[in-house]
Amino acid sequence: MVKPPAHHEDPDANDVRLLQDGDLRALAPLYERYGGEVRSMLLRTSPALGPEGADDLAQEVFLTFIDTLDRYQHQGKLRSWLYGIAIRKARAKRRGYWLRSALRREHGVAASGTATAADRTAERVEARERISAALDAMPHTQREVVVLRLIQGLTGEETARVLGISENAVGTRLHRARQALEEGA
Amino acid sequence: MSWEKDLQEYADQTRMDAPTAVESQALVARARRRSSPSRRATTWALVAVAAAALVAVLWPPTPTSVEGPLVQIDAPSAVPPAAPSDAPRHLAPGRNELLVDVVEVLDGSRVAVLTEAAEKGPGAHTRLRLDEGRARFEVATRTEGASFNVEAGEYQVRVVGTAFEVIRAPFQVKVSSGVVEVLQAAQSWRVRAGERFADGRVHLPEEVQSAPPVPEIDALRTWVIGGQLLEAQAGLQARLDADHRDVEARTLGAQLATKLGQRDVAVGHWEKVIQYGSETQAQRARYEAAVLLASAPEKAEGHLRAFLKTRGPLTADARLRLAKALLAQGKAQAGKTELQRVIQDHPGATPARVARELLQAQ
Repeated sequence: MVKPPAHHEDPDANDVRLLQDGDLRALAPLYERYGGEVRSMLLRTSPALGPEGADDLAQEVFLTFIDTLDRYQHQGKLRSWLYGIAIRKARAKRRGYWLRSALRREHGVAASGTATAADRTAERVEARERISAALDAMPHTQREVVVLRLIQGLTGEETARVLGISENAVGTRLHRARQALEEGA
Repeated sequence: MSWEKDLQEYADQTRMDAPTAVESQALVARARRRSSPSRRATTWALVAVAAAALVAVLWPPTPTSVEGPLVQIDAPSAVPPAAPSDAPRHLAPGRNELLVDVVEVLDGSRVAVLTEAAEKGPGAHTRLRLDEGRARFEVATRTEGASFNVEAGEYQVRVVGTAFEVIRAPFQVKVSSGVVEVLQAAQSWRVRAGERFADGRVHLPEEVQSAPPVPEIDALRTWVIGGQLLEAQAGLQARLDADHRDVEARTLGAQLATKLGQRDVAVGHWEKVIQYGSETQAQRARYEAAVLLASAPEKAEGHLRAFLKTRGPLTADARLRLAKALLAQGKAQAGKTELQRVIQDHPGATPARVARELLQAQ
């Protein structure tokens, strides 16, 4: 299991309250706190976005968050709320990506994988590529569960809330995804 | 388990950095613009500028028909010394949004951001540097005291609010909306929309080639991928104006039109590919056109029959589509015959299963 990112107990309540009072400056600390996670999650669930696309979409996520403030009840669940917005945006984006995918295939551009640092050993790159290939081969519904549950470190309950499915469904998808990952290893 | 180790490696290598303070401030500025009452007006102003740019590219207006804000292009003597800057970041190829401005960087070009305004208003200065290639700028009107500057070698382009293109070398400015003033020593030239400044003089519209520059097909693909669909459409039209038999442009045009929901346009492009393309290209076009013409079975039948003259990939699917097209036209017997052929010739394929179900339903 990938170690989930560390979080403070609840550093968000004050910022959310300020935002709800109309002080948009409070968006900055929230973005700095969660922007990297949201970017990473978007890139992992939708590698076709690429790092820049993930970055753009992450900004949209936070702007949309402002639009949903009147519905948001802060109970220490900001992260999964943001993830929920991000997942919906990524899904909408993916639906428009058929042409991009076709063009990428046409030009032989890999649809996923972004790490290019020269200092990475071949072994590490192979490990990433094994997982990339296994994730690419999965249905997106499974991929989302793997990313949220195993990589982003959400609980089963949080994952279910983000994806709008039952915890049982999360468990089922995770079980199948684990099998696929084991076969790909 | 080894896959868990691999997964950790994947997580490490796909982790993106948290936004910097500058990025978060830019997002706050963006959020403010969205929430401000003038947002809609600003947005539409930009849309209008973009539309004007497109119109100007396609139909360059006459000099007398254009009025707009001034852009000043200064010769070296008029360029103020550039403030020292930290390592500038370079904009990625494609469409980039800076505050309320849009910068389109063509492949192979390099545009560096020297300073970027955190928000629009007095003192909000944006400085870019075109190091290489060509870029197009759509700049929202600045308030007094704010500026947008593009440096291109020894020239500097100061923008008040307009849409234009700068070519690094040999230096050129093409203005698609607004008015530009080029200054060099004691001389000055006014360059209006549709005109361009090059070789030390203004080229009037009649001297400017009536056809816009024909973009490379790869650049058009990049625009499509980047979501610049209208620009791609204009670029494709330019290619087709230059050569209406351009099969690559027709193919991309069909894909783009399908994406835009313009079925008839897409079919039109595919039919041109059938007419002008190689046999392989034509085969694909026949199939694609037939798919788009599912609700026009008579036309689809023609394309599918032509497609099925050659046996190859998608034969089973095409024959099933032909059967459906025939049934939709009330040609029940011919449709059934085609369904039976699907079952007989492609027993293991999915179309055969569908054909069986259709036959049972007849």
